[in-house]
Amino acid sequence: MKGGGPVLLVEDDLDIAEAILDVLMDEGYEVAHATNGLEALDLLRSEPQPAVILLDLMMPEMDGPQFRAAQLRDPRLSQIPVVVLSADRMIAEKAHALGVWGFVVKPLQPEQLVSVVERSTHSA
Amino acid sequence: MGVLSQSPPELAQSTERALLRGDAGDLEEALENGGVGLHRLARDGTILWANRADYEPYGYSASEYLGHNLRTFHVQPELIDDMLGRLVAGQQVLGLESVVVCRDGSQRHVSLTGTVRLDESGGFVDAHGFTQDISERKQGELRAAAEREELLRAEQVARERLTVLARASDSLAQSLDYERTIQTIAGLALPLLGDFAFFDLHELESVRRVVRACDPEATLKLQQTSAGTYQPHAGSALVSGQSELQNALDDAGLRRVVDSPEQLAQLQALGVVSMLSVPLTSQGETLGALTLFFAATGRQHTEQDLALGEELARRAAAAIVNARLLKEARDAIGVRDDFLSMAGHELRTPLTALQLQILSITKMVGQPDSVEKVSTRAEKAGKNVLRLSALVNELLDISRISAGRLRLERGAMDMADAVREVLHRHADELTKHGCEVHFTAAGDLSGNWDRVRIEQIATNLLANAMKYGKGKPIEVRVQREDGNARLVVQDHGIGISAEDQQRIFQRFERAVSARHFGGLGLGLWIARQLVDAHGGSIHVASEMNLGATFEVVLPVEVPPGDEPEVRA
Repeated sequence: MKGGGPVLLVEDDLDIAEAILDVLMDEGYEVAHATNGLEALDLLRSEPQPAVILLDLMMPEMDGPQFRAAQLRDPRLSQIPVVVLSADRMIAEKAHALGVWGFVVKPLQPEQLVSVVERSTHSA
Repeated sequence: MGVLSQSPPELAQSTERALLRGDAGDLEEALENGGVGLHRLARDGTILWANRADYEPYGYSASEYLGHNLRTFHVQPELIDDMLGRLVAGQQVLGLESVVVCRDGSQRHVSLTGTVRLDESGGFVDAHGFTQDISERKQGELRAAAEREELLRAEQVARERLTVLARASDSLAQSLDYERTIQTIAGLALPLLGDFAFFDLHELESVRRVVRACDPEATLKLQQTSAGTYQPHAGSALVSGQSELQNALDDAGLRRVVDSPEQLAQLQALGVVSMLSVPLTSQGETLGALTLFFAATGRQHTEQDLALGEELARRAAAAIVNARLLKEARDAIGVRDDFLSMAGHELRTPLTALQLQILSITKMVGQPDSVEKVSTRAEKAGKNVLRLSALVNELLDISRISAGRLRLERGAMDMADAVREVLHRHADELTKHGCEVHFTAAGDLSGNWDRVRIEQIATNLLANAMKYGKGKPIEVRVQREDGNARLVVQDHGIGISAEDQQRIFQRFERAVSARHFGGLGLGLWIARQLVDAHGGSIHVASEMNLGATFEVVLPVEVPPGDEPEVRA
């Protein structure tokens, strides 16, 4: 396992998730995947805690902002850094409002993705 | 005084003839019975002598008249005083108009003429005069004056009406905004044609009512009892499309136009006396109706009011049609904008994955032992290319169908084969969505259809079932039924509400918000267009949280007039 620990990817689109998983696993990361906020909370309660959460904003069941609110309410989870993935033009403002560690704009560049994961996992 | 059967010149002639004949009896007779009233007065107006024509036509007897003062028989005694004053001063009085009070209290217009007799020293002896009844002439004059006034009033009303029409056109032209137009129309005919008005408009399944009175306070009170929307009553202008003018309005008439029991009570309390209802029609369709009431002012609607009301309704109908067209165009543009932004998002998703895959492949190339990894990654990238091209095809289909350029390429085919092929093609995806498919086929399912399009219908229904019934089994059945082939796709997902079932086959509609489910959301619309093109039908049955069952019925025979195109 590389860096500070595993990565949790929360992304509803299976094709995008698969592509991100491939890129990060190429770099030696261990990655868990949830397709929405609810699934992510379930995973966080059973699996070992990840070093970073990559969070999509638009998802069914529980979207990014709802997940972030639930995460902050749970003291065991609130310290995990979050990186938001979005194609939203207002991503910077939204990321700031959510109080997350960072953001990456879609479409994603592999180097950018790897670099932000690298830095965030060493930030704690 | 007397009714003038002989004019003064004629009287003069008859007395002259009597004098020439030297017949004193004839002279007296002529004076006494002549049509003209004659009298002789003392200085203070006391009647010293008068012939019968001076009092009998007015209902008085000799004793009631002779010896009394002339003043007392006139409505304005001061006129007589004035006449006496002038006579005493030696002047003549010609044609003084006055009004006599008859014994029965009625009045007659008369004209008085008098002259004075003086002694040698110029002292007053007595006054002579005659009285001419001019009532008929006077009434003629009064009638003419009344007619003139009536004409003036009619002209003013006509001017007012023209002003109302001009103002109506102005205010209707000021705004193309639908809501503002509706509010404007409600107040258009006030106060000329009513104390208050109801403006009713057919909207979807019910009628919308806007109430408006001359003053804002009354408007508020009327709004409090109005239901706002209601089902129109049979016999109202809204249903019949006919104008209605009702003076002496009764409860039965009121019941036909109220939208709530509270409103009926209010109209009864207001003492509504007259109602005018005019429909707004456009190309034979009744769009709504404007109903005007007179209550407090006690006025009644006239035929002219009806004509003006109908003219206003014509202009209002044109304004409504224009405002509606503009609103529809704006709404359609809004829907299209939403669709474009959603389509952009959907296209970007496979692009995002594709970009990651291609860039990571680029990095791998040339690295030791990369061949296998590159080929796996390229295969995944290929899948995203397929997804992208499916989306682009969907977009092209939408534009083709919208432009009416959809052409079927019918040929002999078997529906069970086509559906089986579709299931095979989507086996991976079905597995990924956790959907197990139970497929059954029964009967002869050969027919003359466009195979590519039949596969597309099946694909769209299957994609819909996967999307909304993730993790649950899907039943797919094809069967022959009389002259039709039937395709049923049943999922066990979130289901579709009755309200949404009406919309899901429409363009740019989907029951669940776009962000939760991929695709352009036009799969069902496209499926329906393709089914329609084959002369078939598509239905959905569903209950919330109990899944949805889509059923396509296609005639096996080619419908008449829809023979397969001859292709080179």
